Amino acid sequence: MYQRDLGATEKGSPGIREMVLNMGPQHPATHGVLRIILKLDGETVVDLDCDIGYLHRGVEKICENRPYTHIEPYFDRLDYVAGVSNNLAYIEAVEKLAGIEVPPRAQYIRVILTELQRIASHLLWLGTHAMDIGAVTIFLYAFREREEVLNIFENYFGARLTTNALRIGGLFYDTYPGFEEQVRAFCRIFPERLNEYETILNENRIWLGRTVGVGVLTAEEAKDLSVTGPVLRGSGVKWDIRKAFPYEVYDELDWEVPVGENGDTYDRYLVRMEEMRQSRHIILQALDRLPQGPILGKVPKMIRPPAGEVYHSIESPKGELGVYLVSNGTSFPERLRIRPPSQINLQALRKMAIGHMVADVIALIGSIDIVLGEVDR
Amino acid sequence: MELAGTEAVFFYILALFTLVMAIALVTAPTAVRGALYLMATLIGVAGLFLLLHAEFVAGAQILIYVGGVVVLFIFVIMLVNIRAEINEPFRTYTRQRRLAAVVVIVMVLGVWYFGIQQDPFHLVRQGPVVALIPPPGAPPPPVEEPTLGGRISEDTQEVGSVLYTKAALPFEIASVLLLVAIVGSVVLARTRRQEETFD
Amino acid sequence: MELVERIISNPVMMEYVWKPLVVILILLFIVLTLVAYLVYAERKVSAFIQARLGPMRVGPYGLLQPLADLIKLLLKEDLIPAEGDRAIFKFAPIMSVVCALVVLAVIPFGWGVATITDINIGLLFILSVSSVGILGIILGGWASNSKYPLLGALRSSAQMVSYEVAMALALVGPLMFAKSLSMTAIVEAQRADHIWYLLYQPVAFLIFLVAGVAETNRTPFDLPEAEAELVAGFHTEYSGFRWSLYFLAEYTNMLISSAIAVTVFLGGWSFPLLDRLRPEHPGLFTLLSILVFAVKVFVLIYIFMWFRWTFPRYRYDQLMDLGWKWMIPATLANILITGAIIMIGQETLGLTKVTGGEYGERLVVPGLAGKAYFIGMAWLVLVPLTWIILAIINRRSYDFNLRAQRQIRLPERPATDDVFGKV
Repeated sequence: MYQRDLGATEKGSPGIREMVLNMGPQHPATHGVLRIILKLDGETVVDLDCDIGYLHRGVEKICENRPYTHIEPYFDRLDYVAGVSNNLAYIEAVEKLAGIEVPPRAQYIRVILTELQRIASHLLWLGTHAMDIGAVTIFLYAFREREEVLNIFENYFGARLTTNALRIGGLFYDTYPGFEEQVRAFCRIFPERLNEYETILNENRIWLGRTVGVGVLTAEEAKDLSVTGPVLRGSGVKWDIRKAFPYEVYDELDWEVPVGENGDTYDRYLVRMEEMRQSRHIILQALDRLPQGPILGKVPKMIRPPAGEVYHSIESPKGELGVYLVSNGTSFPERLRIRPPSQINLQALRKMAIGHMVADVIALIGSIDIVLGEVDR
Repeated sequence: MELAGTEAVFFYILALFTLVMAIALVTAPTAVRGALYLMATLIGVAGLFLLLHAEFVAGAQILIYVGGVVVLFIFVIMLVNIRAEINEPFRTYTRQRRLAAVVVIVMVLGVWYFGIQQDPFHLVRQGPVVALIPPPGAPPPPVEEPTLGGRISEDTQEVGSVLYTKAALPFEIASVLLLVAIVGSVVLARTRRQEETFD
Repeated sequence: MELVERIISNPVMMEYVWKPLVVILILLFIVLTLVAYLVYAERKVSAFIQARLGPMRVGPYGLLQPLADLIKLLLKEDLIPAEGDRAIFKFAPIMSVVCALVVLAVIPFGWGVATITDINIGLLFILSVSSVGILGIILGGWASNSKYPLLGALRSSAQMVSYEVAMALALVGPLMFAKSLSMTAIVEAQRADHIWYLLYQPVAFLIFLVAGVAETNRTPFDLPEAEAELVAGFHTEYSGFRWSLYFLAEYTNMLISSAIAVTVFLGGWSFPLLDRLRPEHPGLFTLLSILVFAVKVFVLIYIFMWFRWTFPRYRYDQLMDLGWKWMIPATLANILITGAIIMIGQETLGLTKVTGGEYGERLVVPGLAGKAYFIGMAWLVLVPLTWIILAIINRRSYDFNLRAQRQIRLPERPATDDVFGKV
């Protein structure tokens, strides 16, 4: 049995019995194949260790042997909940390295699709998080909304999960007839659905009891652990890549970054709910400002970026998804390193969970919002 | 005391059941089985209370003894020594113990027999004998009207009024004793870490 | 032969053995089918709450689903853990089911023949038998011969024991009005007063309902047996028909909690307009009373299911906190204050009349004045006082101060979500 040293515990106190508990790779609440080794004192968590790697597929190594245009489908299998964001990160990194311009129409459509994907990812987070804590109905409701978004994706991309119709330099497809109506129809019904969820959860005594004060991560700790995304914003740090290093057309649109106060699970929940609203806001603005024009820029036949390296990151629904691309002048990348937000945010689990009870660990895993495909790559 | 009719049938069944369960209790191989036989014995005793028209006491016996005390026993057995009995079985039937058991049984039987003979408490009385199987030609026994309205159990009323008037002092002493037991157990069971987190 | 015939047709046997046996068999058949269809109802109710359809394939609208489930469960392999006590493994679910079903003997489903029997400690009997049923859960967890089901069973039963105290104490309130432990007498008391004890004892009703949910280990109190938790429930090692026995026990317990709540708080089978039928059409009256009872019980069961699919789950320590620090003090305060109210009403204001007759001494409130007094005192004095006492006891608890609902920092939010006027 593989056991790591779980750290020193308080010695010399009579009557403390500690138990090592294994939340095995197969568990309904760990959102994938994650193994957590807990050291418990009665019901309280004394130490915690995550054992990852069960879903490691060697994506980074595979990408070294593929031409740039063939790498994109590997990326939407990383964070399989939010495929478009992953593709966007890679495509933009290559465009940055190769210096390829993307026409504005393609940029706007990309923004619309990414924000739709953010809504879909947060809906899944909401459903699973609420289900872990016990409110099973929210899971069904959130998936009902997610179905609408995935219908749009199916109409546009041809697929719900494997959404790789982004191309280096633009997009492959222009919007299909009816795209705008379908997106607007979704945006029309979405706010009242969100209000429904908030009615069930926001002031519910049981929900408050399970999430307020659970897993507090102060701003300093969050910055030290380099967590990003809603976890960081829930702790009070106003940091969003879309505002800090704007990409696509985010600097031309008018929206806000929601920030929490105390860094507990409730704040992260509120941050993500508000982010969904802001995403809808962004989508509507982008639809109204959508220009006409080409959807693919000037792209060479063979993509051979000049030798060099670039790090480009975007704000994926989980956090800062970064791609560090090293090119050696050929059409195969030299090294492709992915900065997985879920894996780095998972480091904060230990800090958040120590001192809480076993039932809280499950709420915390849902609160960090991890996807094992991204954690393990 | 002469029992006759249905009362006798029920009494003998219940008494036999209680005794058999009690014997099973003391000869049980594991502690959990023993606790279950204890539960059965106590239910038998509750049935005997019912025969004595002490309904409230019977109900309270099951509620408190079986639903509380036996549950507590089982908790303790399960939490403290789960496998000790099976791993090191306790040798119950040594020769000395067998001899002692026989002697005690003989003594108990002797006391009972002499007690019955002397009848110091005038327990034996002649009551109307209602046969279970009426002989042919006898008038049919009177059937009591089933009370659909449900009278207050006189036993409940008796116990209640006595408990708060004449037996108030033992009642209060018992409750203080229980309070002491609860507080004591909480104090003993708390670890230092729990004290610190609470304060 | 003649002996056997005499034994069978003996009036004592007829009255006390054969007639109840027939009623028991009918009732058992009805209740067991009902419980199977309660599972179906739960699936349908949960499906409709979750915007889906539920079982639709087996039979019209999925109505034969319980039959399909029964056949499947009976055909499953009967797995018994290799080590551990096999006899107890087999005995534990039986104990749960028996204790759940025995309670049905004293519940007044309707008038007259619709009750199996009526014993004069009916309520006490019900409480006792329910507390014995807890042992079935503990033994089930223990016989599974594994650490986690055992811990789950112990936590589950600790929770049930705590909430049983609250349930029993909550029932004492209306007992002060009914002055009898017999279930039929309680219904008759409410009928004679033309009142539902819900109006006299709102706190007790609420606590009884919530404690009933906790007793049956349903959400929001089902942490010990939820799938997403680490400590697996006590019925992990059970499969096939044995598992369905536990399920049966749980749904029967739900039925019983609702039936007791209806009997004690909602007036049982009585309905104000029906009384006129009683002298002329006893059979029709019986049927109608059963119908009224069934409707009331189903409303409460629907509330149980509603709770399950709406609320998240309490954590275990929050659950025990709720039971011991909120419910039990509330019930004790309820008993105290109700006693004071009754004494003031009886002695000082003379609003009550004590009648003898077939029901013994009972509190009868004549006319509107007394009823108004008791209802008014209940809602205007009992509820606020109980709330004040609870607040004083729990003023420093974390749960009580959970009003902190912080808004996230958002500079300005548009007044409506439609910033551009239209979507």
